[in-house]
Amino acid sequence: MQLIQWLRFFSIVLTAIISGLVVFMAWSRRRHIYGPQDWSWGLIAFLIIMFGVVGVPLAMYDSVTYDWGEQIVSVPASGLVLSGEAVSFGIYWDVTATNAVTHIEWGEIEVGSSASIEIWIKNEGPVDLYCQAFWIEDSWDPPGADVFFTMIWDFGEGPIKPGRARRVSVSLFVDQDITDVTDFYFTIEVHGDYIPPS
Amino acid sequence: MILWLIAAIVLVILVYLLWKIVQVPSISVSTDKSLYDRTETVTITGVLIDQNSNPMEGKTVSIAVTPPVGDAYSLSPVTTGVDGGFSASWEIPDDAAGGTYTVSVASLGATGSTTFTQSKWIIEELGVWSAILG
Repeated sequence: MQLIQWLRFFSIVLTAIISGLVVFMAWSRRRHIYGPQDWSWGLIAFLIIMFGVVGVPLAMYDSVTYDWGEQIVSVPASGLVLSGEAVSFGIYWDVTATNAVTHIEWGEIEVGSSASIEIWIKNEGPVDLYCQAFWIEDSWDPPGADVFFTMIWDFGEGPIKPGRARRVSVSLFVDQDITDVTDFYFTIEVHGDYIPPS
Repeated sequence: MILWLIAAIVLVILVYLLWKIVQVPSISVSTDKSLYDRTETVTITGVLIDQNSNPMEGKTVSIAVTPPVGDAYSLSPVTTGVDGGFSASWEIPDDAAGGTYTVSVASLGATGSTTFTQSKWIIEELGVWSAILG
């Protein structure tokens, strides 16, 4: 989820908790069940958890059904400017470009084998698009583990024309000689350009 | 006692909301024909309904057409009408590859697809065979 979606999510949860507390407070005072002297931190914590339990599914339901209109894309992109028109692209899990790729879960990979994923790159700009992917060396955790991995980015032949989308496969190979690495994390940066890579 | 009552109500609400979350809308899509020629216009129509089969108005539908070879065509998103219906048209390029094309649609987590055939493929295949057979 994007930042704005998280903000909406947490504001719904917070609203549920606060409004629940206020309503409960007013109701219990009116019914003389809990006066101000009866409020304890335990009771408040219990109510916060209870109303939070209501708020979280409410926010989840909202995030599933709320129509955000245009897709917000925050894929790292760089390139050259052509006649004032920059390359623009999005990376998605589906051909209809509705589920943006924000995280790749490689899962378990056997030593000496590989894992592959398929993503869709949509050219959202007015010029042809070539994309290349790199990992950020400093992003590797554990540091230096990148020497045991190889990433293959199969972009295919030719550019992606404006308004079109291409299925691209990304594979990650784990070296047979890998040692002391059980899990890993790294960041992939995708660079878009209107000029073919040299 | 009161707290247990509240906890029970909260549990019921939670179960209801979780049930609502797993219910996603459904979307249907079709084309006006199943066989087209190059440069012909494909009319794509469909309907978006919620989990209770009520039409969903004013929702954005994303549409893509995937040819048998090459990159997919992303069409401009359309908005559903009062009856939950949506419509889009796409002209098959004059250099389009022959074969089966897939139309994919998506909205609010619901997805649907249909296929059509670009007939030049059949004509070209027949041409190749007739050339082989003399």
